[in-house]
Amino acid sequence: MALEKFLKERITDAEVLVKELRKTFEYVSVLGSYTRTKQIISSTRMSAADDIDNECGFVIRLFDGTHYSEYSTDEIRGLSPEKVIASVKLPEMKQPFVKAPVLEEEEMVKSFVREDAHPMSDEEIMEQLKAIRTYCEQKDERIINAQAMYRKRSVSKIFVSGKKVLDQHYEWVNAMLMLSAREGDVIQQHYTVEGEADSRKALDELDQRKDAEADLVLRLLKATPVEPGVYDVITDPTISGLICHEAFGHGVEQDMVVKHRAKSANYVNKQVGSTLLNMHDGAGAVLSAASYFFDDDGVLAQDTHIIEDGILKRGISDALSALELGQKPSGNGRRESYQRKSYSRMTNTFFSPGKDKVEDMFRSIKHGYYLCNTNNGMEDPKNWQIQCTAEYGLEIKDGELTGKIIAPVVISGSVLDLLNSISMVSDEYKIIGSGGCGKGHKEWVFVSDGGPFMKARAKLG
Amino acid sequence: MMTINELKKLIENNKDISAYEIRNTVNESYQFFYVMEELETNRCVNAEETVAVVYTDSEGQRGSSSVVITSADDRDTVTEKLKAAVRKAGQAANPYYPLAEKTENIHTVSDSTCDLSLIARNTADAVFAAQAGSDAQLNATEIFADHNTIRFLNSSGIDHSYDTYSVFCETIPSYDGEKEDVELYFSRYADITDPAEFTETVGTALSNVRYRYEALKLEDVTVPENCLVAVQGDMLRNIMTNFAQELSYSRQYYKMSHSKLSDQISAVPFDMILKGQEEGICGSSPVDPNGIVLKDTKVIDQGRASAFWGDQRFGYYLKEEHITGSYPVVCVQNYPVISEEDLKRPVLYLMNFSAPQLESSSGYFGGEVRLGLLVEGDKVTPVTGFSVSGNIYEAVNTARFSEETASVSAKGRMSFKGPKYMYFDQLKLH
Repeated sequence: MALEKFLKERITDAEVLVKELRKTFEYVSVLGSYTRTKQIISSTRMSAADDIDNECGFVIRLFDGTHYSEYSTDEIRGLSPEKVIASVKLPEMKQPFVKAPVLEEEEMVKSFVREDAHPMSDEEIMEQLKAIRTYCEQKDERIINAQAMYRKRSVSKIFVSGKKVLDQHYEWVNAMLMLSAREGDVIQQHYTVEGEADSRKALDELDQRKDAEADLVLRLLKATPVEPGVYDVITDPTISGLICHEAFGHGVEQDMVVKHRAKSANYVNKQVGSTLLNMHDGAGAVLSAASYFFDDDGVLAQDTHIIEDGILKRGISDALSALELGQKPSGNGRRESYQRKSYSRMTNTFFSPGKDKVEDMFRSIKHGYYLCNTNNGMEDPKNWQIQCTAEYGLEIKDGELTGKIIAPVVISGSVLDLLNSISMVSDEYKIIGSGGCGKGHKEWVFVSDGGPFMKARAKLG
Repeated sequence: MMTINELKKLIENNKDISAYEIRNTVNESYQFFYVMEELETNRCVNAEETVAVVYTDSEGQRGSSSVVITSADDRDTVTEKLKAAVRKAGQAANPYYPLAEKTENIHTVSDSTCDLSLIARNTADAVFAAQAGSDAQLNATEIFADHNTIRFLNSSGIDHSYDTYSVFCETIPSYDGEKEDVELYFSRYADITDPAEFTETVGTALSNVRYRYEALKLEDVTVPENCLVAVQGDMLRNIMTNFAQELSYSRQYYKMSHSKLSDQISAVPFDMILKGQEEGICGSSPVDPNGIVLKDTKVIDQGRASAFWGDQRFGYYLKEEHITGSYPVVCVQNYPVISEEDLKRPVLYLMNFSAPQLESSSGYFGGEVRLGLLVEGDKVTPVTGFSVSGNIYEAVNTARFSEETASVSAKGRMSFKGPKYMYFDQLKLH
């Protein structure tokens, strides 16, 4: 399916509205967004097939020479310029305006489409989900709940301004398995997720992993808390990705630089981590959960090489932040929905692979932990503290896994200490095509992250 | 956008649909976004969303599927969506459960409307007024003044309509000095009646960021062995809402709870009452998402589990006689107040976490602390750069509470009203 018909029919309306409003405003753009998410769940005690998180609406962005205004609405057909102007009218304000310049754009007319490579019927999806969860349920009676879930996001957007007419349609599929196990009063949960631009591939990959994942949730029943301390660790690609995201992803969002909230502004062209580190972000860097063709400011997707051999080179920006900093925007202007503001946001964020063999990395550990499966994290762009939570860790002694499992594991401490401690980086890596990212504690967008296996020294608790 | 009545007719004309729910939300919002104290962007939102859940029954099973109706949908597309939903509902068949029955219909939509731009402006003024006399600054301030009007109806005769006004403020108190500049995170979700309360709470946040600037690393501080650790704010809300969730129908049904009825959840006696609406709490609601009119329920009585609570579906599955509905507010009261003697001990108050963690399955709670205040008599030592961890199911048994009360309103999650501080004897600091 290409661009939603409704949006296609609104391009002319948007062009007319832009033309009318430009009689009053120096800059005018219209973003139209139509997002549909299909979710199908088969679980031990409940099945569901729903439309979720669907939205359809428009954002009209205006600049009157003093500040930017936005009006979010369901429909632009029949919307008068006078209604828009009245809606964004400011009351008398005590605070002054930021002296922002006007957004400048190049002439551009483009269309983009990326569809699900192997779409499946709802019936086929439900059947495969049911087979996966039934297998897990029957594996061991301690598995009290198994939930297999399929989620497909179909996104259509248009962007119309004085110089641009862009449209895009893209789709992304996630398949997830969530398992709960219980032994007496001990309860553990474990999840795994696959992300692909291909329904069949996502479900098949989940299917292949079901046995190992069921084994893992049973092992977690024996997990103990970690003895707090500083350890040598090996991070799996999910934890490497989480560190990448929290340590430097948020820290190089350029709207934080505009607000003097990013310590990274003082570190451009300086060493911020091990020389083994290379970090990228971009909707165009890889094909994953945040791979769009243009951002919510109408800027084309790119690949930003943020850290080169341990040296911080550049950040990621939305159009307004880039303008205020005199930079070229990197295509990272994203909104949670048409009802929310655009910020500088991550997309697909990852550390590049290195040269080490994974087995050599394990062999090099005298006593430490292999940290696995991202849970959550929190940034601190001003003071460079970090908190990342791994679902579990496996003890390593003399280069071998001992069988001891710890859960959950919170990594905390200084970003620079952690990144400078990275001493080995594997030659294999993986991008995890599923994730949600908030700006502070809100403004959720879909992201991916990932990277290689990495050896570091980390404070665990 | 299609009207509710048109949608209702379309649903009722589809003979394959056994039951339905419709929720319509009109969201009006006015917002300000600042860089330091300068306005960068103002926004106005005028949006409407309708979600219909259709139910189909077959051989004692009930399937359901939700459909989102947007401005893009006309009569034909909605008809097609409903047909697709019927097909999907057939795929997602579950044990039967009835929809909530009508008891009374709530109609409390305000007659008069408030000017959201003025509410946002007055809130911004109150927030920035906190900077007067402080050498710390506010940055990245965002103000949202919202008015949501909700109509909920179902095929059992429920037809509620109500509205809510709220203000949300997020701001970053920061302090720049000769040492490293520091910042903290502050947010507050509140009703619109008293913007001056923002001046007071933001003022406290500005004092705290000054403390963070002066804070010592944990390794440079001697924490006495008899030191108590006190949690507050969102961490305390997390702890108490987790105890409430342990008694929810859904956690019981999924066998994910550690507690049964009559279990002594905590050796320390306290009462927990769940409410739909509570004074001073934003996010209150007269009805739950399935339309059940909410009446107060005591779920913990002096530390003992006294009732389950939750939504229509899982309540029915558990054969509950009286299904309470899902509550937005947790209130804790009748608890043991910490003694004067104990308060003479050193106390480490955990003021700001980077992100408070609580894992319900294992009971782990803790996280990285951005600001702690070690209080020893009149001496206050700010501490930073450390983590705390413990098991809430064990730690609760020796906890005590402050006499002073507080409330924490949370958007989209359960809000909390009760003691301001919860004191623990033994938590790991590292």
